[in-house]
Amino acid sequence: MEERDEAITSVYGGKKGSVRHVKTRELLYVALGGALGTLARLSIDLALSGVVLGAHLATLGVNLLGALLIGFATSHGLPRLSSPVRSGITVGLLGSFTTFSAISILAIGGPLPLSLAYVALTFVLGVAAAWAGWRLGTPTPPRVGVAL
Amino acid sequence: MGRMASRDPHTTTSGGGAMSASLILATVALGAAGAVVRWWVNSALSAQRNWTATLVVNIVGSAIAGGVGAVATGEAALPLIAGLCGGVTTFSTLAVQLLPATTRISVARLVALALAHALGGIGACAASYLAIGQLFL
Repeated sequence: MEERDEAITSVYGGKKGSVRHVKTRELLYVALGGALGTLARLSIDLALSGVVLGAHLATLGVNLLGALLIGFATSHGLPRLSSPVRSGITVGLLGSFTTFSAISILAIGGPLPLSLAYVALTFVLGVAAAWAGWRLGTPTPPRVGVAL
Repeated sequence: MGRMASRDPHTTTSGGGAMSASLILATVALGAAGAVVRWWVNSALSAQRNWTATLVVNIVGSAIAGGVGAVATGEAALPLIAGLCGGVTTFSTLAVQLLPATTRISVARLVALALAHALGGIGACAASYLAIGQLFL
């Protein structure tokens, strides 16, 4: 709490530990994570570019993997990392690794039945992946009972 | 709408061939910029419900992608669509926000939120694609 008070009182100073300093660090980590996430997504897009429905599969794949990982990160909390680094991973890296605009473009570019099925599948599997990540990141309570 | 398939950046970028380093760099740089914009929108709307920012960026990003897709073809569209729009929009945050465990919103409202993203995002993308296409083509 003292650190927060100190940060707020020095908000205009921009010195280390101030809100401005933390926000600047967070912005840089988000940008770095965004670049890495975009590069990873682009790499998977290109790797599957010669496959039938490759764009659909690539977008579905990155979205499911990203949903799983952000579910884990949200539940686990990544307590050993600083707040700017956490933002860099969740908002930057995983946020940019996954995409919604590609879903929209693929949906309006294909036949209606395929588009409907694709969007429905993405949402259902995406939420399931996030839930699985959430469960994986939730610490399991220690087992209690009588040893036999 | 079927002609959008020929403008899909995934199918027109490389066809399995090599992309130029400058194109990849531009895409990655705009992806980083998109992530910063999303972070800024999220910060600006943090006083609202936390799903508001995600809905806004997904609808606006989809609309921009549709508009760009209407006028730009091939590799020219890649930095803006896969980079900027891909970085601005997100699916992972949406997936977590749709988890009942992470919110106090009822399941019925979560379904409504999912529909708002699907119909709003795809609808904005289609509307933008058609409108920009009418204007410039």
